[in-house]
Amino acid sequence: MHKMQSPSQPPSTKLSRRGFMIGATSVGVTLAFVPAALLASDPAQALSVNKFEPTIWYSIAPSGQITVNVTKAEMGQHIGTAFARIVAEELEADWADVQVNHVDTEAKYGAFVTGGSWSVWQNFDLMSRAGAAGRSALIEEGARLLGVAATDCRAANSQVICRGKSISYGDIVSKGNLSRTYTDAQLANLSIKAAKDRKLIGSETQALDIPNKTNGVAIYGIDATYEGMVYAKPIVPPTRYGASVKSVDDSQAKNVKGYQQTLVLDDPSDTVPGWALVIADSFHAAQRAERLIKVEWNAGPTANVSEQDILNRGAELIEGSSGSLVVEDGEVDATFASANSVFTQSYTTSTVLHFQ
Amino acid sequence: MSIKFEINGTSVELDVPDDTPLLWAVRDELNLKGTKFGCGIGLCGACTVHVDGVAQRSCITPLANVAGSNITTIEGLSENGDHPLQQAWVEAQTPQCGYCQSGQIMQAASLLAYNADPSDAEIETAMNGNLCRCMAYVRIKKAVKLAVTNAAAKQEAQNA
Repeated sequence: MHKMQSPSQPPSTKLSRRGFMIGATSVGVTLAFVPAALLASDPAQALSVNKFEPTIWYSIAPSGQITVNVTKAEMGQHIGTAFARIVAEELEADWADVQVNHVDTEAKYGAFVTGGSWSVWQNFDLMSRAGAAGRSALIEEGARLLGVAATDCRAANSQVICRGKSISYGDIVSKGNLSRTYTDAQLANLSIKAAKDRKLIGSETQALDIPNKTNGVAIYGIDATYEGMVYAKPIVPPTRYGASVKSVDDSQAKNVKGYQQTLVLDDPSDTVPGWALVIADSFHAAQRAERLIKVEWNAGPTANVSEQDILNRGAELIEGSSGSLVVEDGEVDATFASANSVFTQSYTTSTVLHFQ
Repeated sequence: MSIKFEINGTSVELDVPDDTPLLWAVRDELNLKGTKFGCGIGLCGACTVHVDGVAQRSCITPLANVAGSNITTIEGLSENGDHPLQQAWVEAQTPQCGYCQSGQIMQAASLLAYNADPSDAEIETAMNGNLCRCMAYVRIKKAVKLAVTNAAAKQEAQNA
């Protein structure tokens, strides 16, 4: 038996205390996970005021355009495309109708934590069920509009098809009433395709984020602008922790056009202790001013810690009982105890600067 | 003192210190954000633009040097983002994060403008100052070659 202790567990992805809601909104219909407590409210009302749990949601416009909102950072793994494919697979959407929308980072859209290779596998089941719930509602409503039994209908290529008759998703959004709610239990009962029946997932496609990365249109963090925005250049202390600013002399920087001031960060969270920020009208002015500013620090107790001190401390931790056990395999001690010969070797690794 | 130059076909006049790097004038004064800041010391190529048709590192090009010049940024490389290199970049699915790709494309465009059919070695020589942290190099080279092949095929079709 191996007991793995992952150093950083991803957040829970269980369906508990959630429901799913479909309701008319200004864009057509919106389909979203909601806290279970909201299931009793009117979907159109709840969704139009964004009272939903905004982790996963998508919309279908009367034109048939399907927009999958992405609440994760796109760092080059094309996860927005992956999300859209997962939804579209179960929704039986025509891929040509699907677009992704990278929402902004407002708090209402969640923590945006992206990393650890979590995004796709963690959300796969939820997004599949979001797609399946949409398909189920579209089939029911499509059948009603066509005047046939839902059991005679299936969905394919953004259409509900019933024994020779068909209606497009866009027309169902325009003419029907898709207002629905699904409890956890109902979501869990929706049928999800077997892997062998998938049409989009696992087949080659082009990433939706790529064209805008060839023409200068894609927006990165550095490209964000806000009304009245100023630019800052940090002056970082000689030690990572424990430093505090003693004095700042910006007398020479005052001649730099656009220089405003230097702020000493008061950081009770201790995330960036001892940092000073040079504030200016432009990044270039901040850079020029920074070169002319003299900062003195109390560097703190770690100023004289050497690489060797760190390695020695590491060795001490291994010898003692304060280290952490990552994998527990009950047979290790017994195997060593019964071995004919034991080979012992120590491996060390040095510190590296990690800045990203 | 103001500095005049042309950017993507439009005349502009900027009243900023003439040692301001072209990069920051382009990004923050002219609000063309497609050109990226990477290293700031001309070593990575993310900031590459054309000055009178030749690829240059805008982060170390003072504005004083471009007075009266014609600047082209990624936004001005083609009218509809359909330069043969941009099409090839999509076809080869070159970008991952994409941050360096404006500079990569501008560097490659400068190469092809002077050498329409570069050898592998010539592509490598021209492109080896443009770094890609995602390591998209294989697809960058593939896309440059694809653009050459596509252009040749188009030419042939026109001649036929």
